[in-house]
Amino acid sequence: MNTTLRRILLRAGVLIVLLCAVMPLSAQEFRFVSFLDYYGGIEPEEGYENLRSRLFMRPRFSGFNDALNFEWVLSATLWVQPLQSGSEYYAGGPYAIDSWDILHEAYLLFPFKKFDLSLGQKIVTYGFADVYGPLNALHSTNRTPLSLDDGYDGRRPDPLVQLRFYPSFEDTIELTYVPLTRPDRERSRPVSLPDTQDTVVWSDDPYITDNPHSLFLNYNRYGLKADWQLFYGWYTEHTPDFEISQIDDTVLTDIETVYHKKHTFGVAYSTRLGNNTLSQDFAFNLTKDLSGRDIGAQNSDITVNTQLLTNLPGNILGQFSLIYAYFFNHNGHKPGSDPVAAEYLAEEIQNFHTQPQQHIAFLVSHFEKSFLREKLKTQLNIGFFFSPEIYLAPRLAYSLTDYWTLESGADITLGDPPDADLRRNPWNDNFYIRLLFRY
Amino acid sequence: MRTLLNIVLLSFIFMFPLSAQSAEEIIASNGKTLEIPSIQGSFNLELISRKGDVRKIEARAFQKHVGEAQNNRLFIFDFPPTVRGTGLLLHSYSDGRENNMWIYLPAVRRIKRIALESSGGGYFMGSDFTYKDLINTDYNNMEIERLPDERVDGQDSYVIKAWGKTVEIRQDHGYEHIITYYRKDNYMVHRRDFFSLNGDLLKVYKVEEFLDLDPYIYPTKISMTNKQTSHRSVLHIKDVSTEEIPDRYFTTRYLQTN
Repeated sequence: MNTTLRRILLRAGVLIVLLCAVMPLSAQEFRFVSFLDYYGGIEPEEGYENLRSRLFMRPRFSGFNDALNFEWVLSATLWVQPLQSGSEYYAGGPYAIDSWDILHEAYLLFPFKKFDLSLGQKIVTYGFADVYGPLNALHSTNRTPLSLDDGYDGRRPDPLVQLRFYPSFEDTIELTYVPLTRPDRERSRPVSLPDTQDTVVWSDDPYITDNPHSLFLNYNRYGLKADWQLFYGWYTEHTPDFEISQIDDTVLTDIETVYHKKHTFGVAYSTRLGNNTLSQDFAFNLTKDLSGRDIGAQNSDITVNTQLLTNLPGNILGQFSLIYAYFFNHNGHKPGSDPVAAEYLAEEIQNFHTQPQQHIAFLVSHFEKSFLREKLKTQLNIGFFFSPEIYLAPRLAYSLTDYWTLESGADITLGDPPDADLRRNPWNDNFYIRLLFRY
Repeated sequence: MRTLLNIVLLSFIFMFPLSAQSAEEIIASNGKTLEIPSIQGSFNLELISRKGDVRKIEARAFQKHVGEAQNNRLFIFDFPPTVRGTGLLLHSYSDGRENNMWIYLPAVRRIKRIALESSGGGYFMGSDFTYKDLINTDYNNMEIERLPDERVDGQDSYVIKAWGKTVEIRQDHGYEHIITYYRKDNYMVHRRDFFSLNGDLLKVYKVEEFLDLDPYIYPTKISMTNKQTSHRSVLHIKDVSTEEIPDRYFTTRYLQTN
């Protein structure tokens, strides 16, 4: 990170600290979420292990300044993990949250008659798909969660300037500029690739400073028959590519991560289909490597997410998401002088980029039923990858009072964990129990 | 004897114009009392279990009639914390068009189009009201029959039975039929009995308090009692105002910023 940028970030940090000190004093609304949880590993082949316990807090202050006509929001994330895992994949996991992640949403919103202007750090969502939304590209994600549906440890807000223009009650045109975005959260330790004697070294920068500036343009229409979105993003991809200087299993090489620009063109709609709601998100992702020749780079692709929300017999809420992706020029890389090493690296990296084959498809089903007047909620999430590796995630939540909830669940994958060296999620089975407080 | 005859004649003179009303006319008269152009208030829903445990849901509610056939409603939930900040926007139509419903989920910053009101069993936030109960009854899809007048809950009432024209519609509503009691003095629905698909009495809706906003009537305390589980939901509406609500309130922009 260069000195000028460090100075800018330092000043921004001081400003934010001052805002943090002053704004809660005039807060009109205060919200607070806190939990204490415990994760235990139950992978049959590895035996029982303590994965983590976490004490989490997220205070949120907000208010509206009538004199200057603006809304402000300030929230923070704080957690410590008194019990850390000693397992291979989570060893050295942080005791406490990284200081760059403490500030959550912090923005000012100026509403005008026909438009809103937002300045600050904010979460922005695109598309209609709830899981694996191909248009939901603005923020980085956590690639190593213990539960894939973890709502508290997922996306991190980015600093941005957002202009939302409302030409009519039904239409919104939104332009968002992100000066600096964040990388996905990957495993922080270097990863050895034994077959080629290479080592993947991750960047530990909190922001992707060597590839700034991202732009997103979105048109949104909430109509009588259907809702529509047209989307374009030119942005720094949060998932890294790999700079491989030499493909040779006799040479020890450090493979570094690099973040490239990406274009996403998208369209999405959501409409009633009888008593159901059908949504589809289409995305054409154009990466740096359309030709597919760079072995370390993500391929361009077309991804379609089809989602059906329905009420099943027995008043069970069901949501089915079918995700299909086609990757251009898959395995079009040059084998070079060492085809065996190239094949190994290609397989590792294709899996890392979730593009193991030219066509992939998977189905995510969500079932939800409430009992005791919604005091007891049961959920079952199933990920079906058209292979024996079926992901099962049962969930149970019981409201002890209006403020306290006891949650429990498990993340179980049938089949053995994959043996890829660059895999992020260990796919080890686990269970959790969580006591949650909301105010 | 002559006096008695006069009384009987007079009674007939006064009764005849009212008794001659058809079920459609009574429903139409009731509809006119509900066509308040704009109304808003604080919405407090108590969920009372058979054992007497009470849970509360608090929201701000806004309602506006747009044209002849469209009714817009907006709910912004304030309590309990699990739903705080959640918004529900309904555009309902009495001319046969499909209703539109959007929910704003603050946790994921997303507006979702939903069609859950079509579920007969889709109870609103764990209460005894279904989503369908919250939307204007569309009589275009229903058969209606006027039953003999009755005095019910201390009120002289017109009685109308209504049921879905097809099995599918009845399943969609979640009821085999409903019997509605309209007060004779102001056409207000003061009681409605809901019968389950197997014909048993399921729920009883009662208006316990209302505001007379001549020529309109607005119920401010409504109870819904499930006769099969003894669970009860009581809806109180306070701080009622009939000041005009801007149209922008019933948009997705307002839904996600409030």
